[in-house]
Amino acid sequence: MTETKIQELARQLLSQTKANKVEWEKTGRLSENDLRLVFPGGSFIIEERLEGHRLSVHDLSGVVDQLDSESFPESAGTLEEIYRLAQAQIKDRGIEKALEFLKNR
Amino acid sequence: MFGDVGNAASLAGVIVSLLGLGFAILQLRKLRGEARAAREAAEAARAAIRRDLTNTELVRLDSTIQNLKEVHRSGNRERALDQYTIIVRGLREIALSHPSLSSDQQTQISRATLTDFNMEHAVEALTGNIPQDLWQDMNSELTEIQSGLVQGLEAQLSGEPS
Repeated sequence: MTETKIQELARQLLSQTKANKVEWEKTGRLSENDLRLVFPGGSFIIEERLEGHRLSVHDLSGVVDQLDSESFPESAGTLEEIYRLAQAQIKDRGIEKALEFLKNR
Repeated sequence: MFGDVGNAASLAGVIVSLLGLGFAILQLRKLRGEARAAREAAEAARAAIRRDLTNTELVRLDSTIQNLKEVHRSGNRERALDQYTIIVRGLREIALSHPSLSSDQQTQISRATLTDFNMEHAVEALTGNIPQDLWQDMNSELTEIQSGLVQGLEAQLSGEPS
């Protein structure tokens, strides 16, 4: 089965996240379990839901494309890993900031 | 003797031609200067109009956000849903009409758009009465957009060249 564009994107996103080349952030108060990666003109959101994970791509008009582990079980592992790494990245950044704060006190 | 007169006449002709050429050059320079001045004036006018339009866009965006905060305080779901669309449209127009914005500012616009989409989805998804603290959370996010993005854009775009 050929890979769709969004699946290819998810794969690239995973390797960029692994290499720490992208900076994930919390989405905000409204959806605390969602993580986002914002760039000029758009963003990625990865959500953890009961059914698994979902990655969506947004531009300034709304959702452009999405990939969820329920409809694409072959991508479930990739999505889960992106979410896990993004979460760890945010947590690490938080710890770094806290240490920096304590050092500068 | 005729030869001398002829030489004098051709010398005079050369002098007249040179004078004519000099005059023509001066005229040309003057015209060029005027054309440049006119072009500069037109560019300045264009920049002023652009600044005015930008300020209008930003003032409109800021007042829509302010209005949405009031709507949130009143808990009017339907009116809130109308406002989200207007804000996203305003943000998109600013992003598209100012490609010279820095990557950081364009990212901020994307972030604000996403925040707005999230609010819209949250309000659409929630049935029954939306708790007051959720409206307050949304207003805090809107205040962040106003103080971070809108004011930053205002400062940069008001000094942007044409």
